[in-house]
Amino acid sequence: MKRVILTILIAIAFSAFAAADPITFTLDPTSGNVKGNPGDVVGWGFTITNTTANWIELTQSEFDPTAGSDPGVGDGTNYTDFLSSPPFNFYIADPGSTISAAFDPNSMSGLGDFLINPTAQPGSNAHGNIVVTYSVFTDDPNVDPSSQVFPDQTVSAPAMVSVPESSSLSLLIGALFLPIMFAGWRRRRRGVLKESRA
Amino acid sequence: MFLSPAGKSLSGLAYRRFAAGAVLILSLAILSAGPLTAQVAAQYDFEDGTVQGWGSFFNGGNAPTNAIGTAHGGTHSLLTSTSSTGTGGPSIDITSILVPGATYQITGFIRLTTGESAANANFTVKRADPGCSGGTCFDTVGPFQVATTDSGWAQIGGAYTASTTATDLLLFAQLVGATSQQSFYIDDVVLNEIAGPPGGPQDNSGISTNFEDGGLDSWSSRAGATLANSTADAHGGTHSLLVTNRGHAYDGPQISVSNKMYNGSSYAISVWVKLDPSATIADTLRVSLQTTLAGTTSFHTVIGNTPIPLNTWVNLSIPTYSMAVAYDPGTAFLYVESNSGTQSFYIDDFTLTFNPPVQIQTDIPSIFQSLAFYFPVGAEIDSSDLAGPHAQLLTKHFNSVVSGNDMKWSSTEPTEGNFTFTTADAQVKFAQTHNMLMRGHNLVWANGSQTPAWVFQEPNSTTPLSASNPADVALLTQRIQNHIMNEVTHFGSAIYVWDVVNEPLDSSQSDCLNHGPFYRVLGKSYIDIALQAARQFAPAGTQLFINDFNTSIPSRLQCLETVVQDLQTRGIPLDGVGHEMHNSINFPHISDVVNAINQISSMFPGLHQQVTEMDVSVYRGGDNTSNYGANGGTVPPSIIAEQGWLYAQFFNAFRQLKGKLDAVTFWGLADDNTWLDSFPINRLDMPLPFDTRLQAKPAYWGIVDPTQLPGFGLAFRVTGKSGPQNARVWTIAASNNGSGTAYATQINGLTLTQVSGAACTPVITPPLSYPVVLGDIGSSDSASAAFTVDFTGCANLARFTLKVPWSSAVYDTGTLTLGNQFR
Repeated sequence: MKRVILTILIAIAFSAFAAADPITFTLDPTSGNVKGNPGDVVGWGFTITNTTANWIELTQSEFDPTAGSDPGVGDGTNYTDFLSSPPFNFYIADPGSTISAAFDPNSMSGLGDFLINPTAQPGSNAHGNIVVTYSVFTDDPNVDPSSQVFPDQTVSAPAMVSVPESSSLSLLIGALFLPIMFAGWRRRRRGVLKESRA
Repeated sequence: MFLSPAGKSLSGLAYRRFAAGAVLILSLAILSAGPLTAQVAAQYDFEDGTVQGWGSFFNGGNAPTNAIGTAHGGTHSLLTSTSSTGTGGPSIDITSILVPGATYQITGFIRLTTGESAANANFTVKRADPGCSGGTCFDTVGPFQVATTDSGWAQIGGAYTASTTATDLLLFAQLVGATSQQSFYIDDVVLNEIAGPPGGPQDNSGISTNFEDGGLDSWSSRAGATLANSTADAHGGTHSLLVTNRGHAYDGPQISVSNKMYNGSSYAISVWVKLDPSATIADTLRVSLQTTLAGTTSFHTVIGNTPIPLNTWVNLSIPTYSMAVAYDPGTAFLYVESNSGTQSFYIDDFTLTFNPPVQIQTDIPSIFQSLAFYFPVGAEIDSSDLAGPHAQLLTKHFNSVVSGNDMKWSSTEPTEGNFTFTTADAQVKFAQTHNMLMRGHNLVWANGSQTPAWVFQEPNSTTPLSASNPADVALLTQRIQNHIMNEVTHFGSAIYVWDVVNEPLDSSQSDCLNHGPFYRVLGKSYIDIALQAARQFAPAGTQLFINDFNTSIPSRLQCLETVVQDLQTRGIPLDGVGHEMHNSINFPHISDVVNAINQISSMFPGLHQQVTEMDVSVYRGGDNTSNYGANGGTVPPSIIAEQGWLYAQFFNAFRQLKGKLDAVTFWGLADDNTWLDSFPINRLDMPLPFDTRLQAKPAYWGIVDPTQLPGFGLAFRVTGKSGPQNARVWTIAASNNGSGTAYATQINGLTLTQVSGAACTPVITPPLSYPVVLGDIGSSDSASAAFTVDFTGCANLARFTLKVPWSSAVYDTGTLTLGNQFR
């Protein structure tokens, strides 16, 4: 009888879990786009909303490049997953709850970081998806971890690591435009002077 | 004077006899009904109960009749007889059926009526033609005499090209040598057009013959050898073609490829051969091409000499043969011949396949543009790369070139003081026209390779130069200086970097130097002399390199450092070192390459470094015997994928060496032209980013966009946990979401590290031993393995971190790491 009840409960849990869009996942920043200079470490926080009747616990995240991603910026091996690394932050979303964590490499908060290759080309980017793996429980895993019904589910969101154009180029552009701007300022200033003379 | 296929010289008259004989033999001996791609012009099976238009020819008016009960196919045939003196037989007018100039396979089956004595038979065409003596010719179609009995059907006929001047064509069957009336049946007569008239659309249908129909499939004897369909042995199916009674090495089977192979087109050719059991020693066979143009016959090796051991089917094949000769209609033949000797052999499963013209992919990223931020990307070239699709590939993907052989000493100064730069000049001009950098390779090759013998000999003598003779020392010094002066002066600023000394290292020597012919006369000073001469005569700014192989091997790296240190200490000009990078599928390790470049950069700040001759053999280092191409094979796709992942790792490393690595040059453009096809042995190798048809390989994608590699995106997951605490079963699955197969996927371990709860020690039992093989996983497919874990003693809330290291295609590696795992 217990087995029958358990089966029914699991079936109910499954049907609840299988409802449309039960898990909402967004990156922080929500665009998924982060920028950094060659050699910098960048990363992502997250928000997950669990509208199911189950508990979910995050277990892993990874960066999967997609076609055209520039390997010169980095690839999946440049990504460090915080979820499966010490100090093992336990992110558990209760039924109907929303959890968030900002990216903080010092406390390993958030999903993970990405080390931009020191030789990355300014203006280039690596793009792909951050895939988060989670387990599903019909009860609070801190109370009854044996209530796990799905060990390995995933959600994902697009992400991009961009390397800005080099600051030297910006300076050069600035240097080119400075005389023009200065000339314009002088013209306006002269105009002001003319007006004052008038 | 001409050369026969056996290399024997023939006088003009003898030659003409030979050539004419060959053509005659062809016209006499071809049998057909093979699985040629053809159009049926006419066929006669007599199944409708009529004679289907057949009449009598020169047989005393014995009109043929439809016969029931004796037939080759179906139930009907055509019954007829010769005249009382044995002449003539059934005939049909084919004037309106045959297209002038077109070639046909005319075949049929013949059987004597019961009780008739065995005889010989053939098909013949009576041709009314102004070109014939007396206005009439009799053309035998196929063999003149085909043994015919009353106990079975024999196939007669062969290839026949319709005359463009004939006015009347009558096909008839006859018995040869009969002297009294004999009756016989014929059946299943077919006229297949196998080649259109000259000038028509190119026929790219190719040829395929397997002899399974019992005939000769259009093969004929070259010079009298006996050809027979055989069931004694076969490569595929149950039939083959046995070639016996060969009178010469060049005598054997030939097949017409007129109107099948066209000048300027490319073909794949394959045929299986096996020595007849009567052969006593291993042999050497090859495939050749004979053509005649304006009365001049020439012979061309198509598939080179190939060892044929006893009792073994061997494939003679070439994936790309470029037909580069024109010929008169009907005068092109492929044939199998011996290098020497006349042993009998079988052939089977011949194919001639048209290769569509190569077109490069224009919709993929350029290699050099993709890497422009990091370094120029070059390719080794020869004259054949300056036009056509090779030139297109070159200019799309590379912005630097190096001449493979045409700037070497043997090419530029084959005799003393006589310089020739014509070939290299064309390559330089190409580079300049397309705004490409050009490396110079090489001025002095330490081991004397591709260096003329005269360089090391007394003037006008074969006496070697001697280190103990001051005059010899001065002479070699002067020769090096003169050679370098002329070459670097000639090319001037067109060359931005010279490999001044090629391969000077030898780590087995105490002084780290190759003790080749230069060294033996001049000692290590030859390097100084060369570098100083190059500096003296090359334009300012030209970089001077030494270039060597296996520089990532610690002993050779140590020698490179020693030699560079010595040169710098003594003030000898040196601007850079080249790392050749002729790699194997398992050598060198990338970390060793990175270490070598970092170490040189650290020890010699400002010294330039380039990868100068990169390729990645599909064979393992030291494997000098394997050949994926043997017997018609090719390199397994798993190896090609593995190579792609390896290229990805190398170029990922190269990108991160930006600032230390000035350029990367491939030793070749594509796999259709690589030195590794003949080194260390003749074999198929595919070491470059583009395949033999200039299409991007995984190696290319590994360089430009690794997300396109086969198996990219392979994902490992825990898909199930079940069972009791002391025997939990965790299922680890790999899913391939990529566009290609993930080859040789395996799990290399599984560990659980406890991160919370009272300490315990789970005991993990893999399905078998590690690695746990998941095998090849196709696109959108998955594979899994179950691991049993005994969690006895572990608390309910104990948490673990799971680590599952895995690999695929050897170089695609990763670790599934999952935190917060309960048992």
